[in-house]
Amino acid sequence: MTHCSDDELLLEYYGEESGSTTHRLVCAECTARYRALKQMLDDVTLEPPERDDRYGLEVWQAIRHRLPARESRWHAMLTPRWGLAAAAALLLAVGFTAGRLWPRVDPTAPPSMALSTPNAVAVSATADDEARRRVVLLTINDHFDRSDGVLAEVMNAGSPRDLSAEQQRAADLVAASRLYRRNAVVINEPAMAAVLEEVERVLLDIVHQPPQATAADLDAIRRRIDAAGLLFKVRVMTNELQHRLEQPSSAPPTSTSTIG
Amino acid sequence: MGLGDVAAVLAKASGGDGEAFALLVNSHARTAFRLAYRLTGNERDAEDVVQESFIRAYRQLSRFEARSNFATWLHRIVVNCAMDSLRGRQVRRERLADPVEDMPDVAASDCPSPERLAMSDEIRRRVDASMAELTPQERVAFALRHYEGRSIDEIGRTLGVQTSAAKHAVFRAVKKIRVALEPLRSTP
Repeated sequence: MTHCSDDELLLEYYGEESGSTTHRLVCAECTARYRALKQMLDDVTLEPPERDDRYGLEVWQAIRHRLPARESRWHAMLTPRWGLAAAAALLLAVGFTAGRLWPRVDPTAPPSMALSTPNAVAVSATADDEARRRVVLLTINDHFDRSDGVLAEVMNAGSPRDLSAEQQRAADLVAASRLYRRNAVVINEPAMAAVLEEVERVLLDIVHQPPQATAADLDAIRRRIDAAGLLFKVRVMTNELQHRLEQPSSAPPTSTSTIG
Repeated sequence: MGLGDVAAVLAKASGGDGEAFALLVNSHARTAFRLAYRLTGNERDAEDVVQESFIRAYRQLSRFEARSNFATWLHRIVVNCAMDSLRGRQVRRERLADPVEDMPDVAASDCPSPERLAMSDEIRRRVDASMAELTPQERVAFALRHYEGRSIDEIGRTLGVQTSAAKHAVFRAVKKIRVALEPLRSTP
């Protein structure tokens, strides 16, 4: 009788075609050898350390400056090449809009929103007032951080559940977001304004859900957050803002973009 | 990300859209890390492999065919980067004769449970030591078969070798590991 070879037993263990099984099943010696092999290999395990959901952001931050330069939408938006003329035109438009909207501004809004007054627009429009720019960036950074909290809560919520607490926080954030977005445009941070707008739309979605969200409701919002990579974008922005706020000048990077 | 979303993001990333590529990194980084860790056996090398893989993927994105699966394509890139890392490690070891460098991390446990833990630590230590003696191809072939559950055919394709070569790489790896673990089998 020809017994199974070790290699045949190994192939059988891995579920590969081996031709040994028929013999092995009727042969006590080969079955014993197979069991020994199985016991040995079952003990060989390697569980990788866990990486949390911020790992993608960490990898991105580590490699983004090492990627070959290519044009990207965010890059274009974050560099001065965007054009002084365009910026000036935008500031004029924003100044006009801010002037028209000013009487409707919520008086309970945070202090930094005072930048939306026509005078403040004019001051920040010169881009000389670094202190004011930093205040705007700080408040936006805080806003992103709080938005991250709400979005993460929704992403991780067991379903179905009562969303009223998140909805209240989302409503507060939406009210503030409109002004922050305007301020971001005023200080020439269009990429930031774009992300604020995306976050605002999803926060509005959350606000408009029934308080007792069904599994389907939650799934729909999660899909939207996920499809836009929104949590990730918010974290990239927060990370970038923190980095910039630690620097002497908080102006946008000129050579390499935040995200592209 | 749904399939349609992936296709749209890939199309944008191929066109040089950094934002889109960042989303791909975010979606695939953790899977890439798990694979890289299993191939290299330690966190530091796995981190390097993940970063290098995404940089390579970005450079080669124009060669990626839209009909293909991005995860499968990235899987192959991670395997190639891990092979390079292991080859580099082997060369350094041969130059420096420093086996310590190859000793992978042995994770410390917060809740030691006496004999079982001691035994599994010993198994892990011996497996690590024997894995460090494998050639890069043996190590990768074994990791893909044993930890990742890839078929021998698939491993051959991934490594760009004949199926029989992949099969024998796994055989050799298991033999070496078996020799390392044999003394534990005779322990009562």
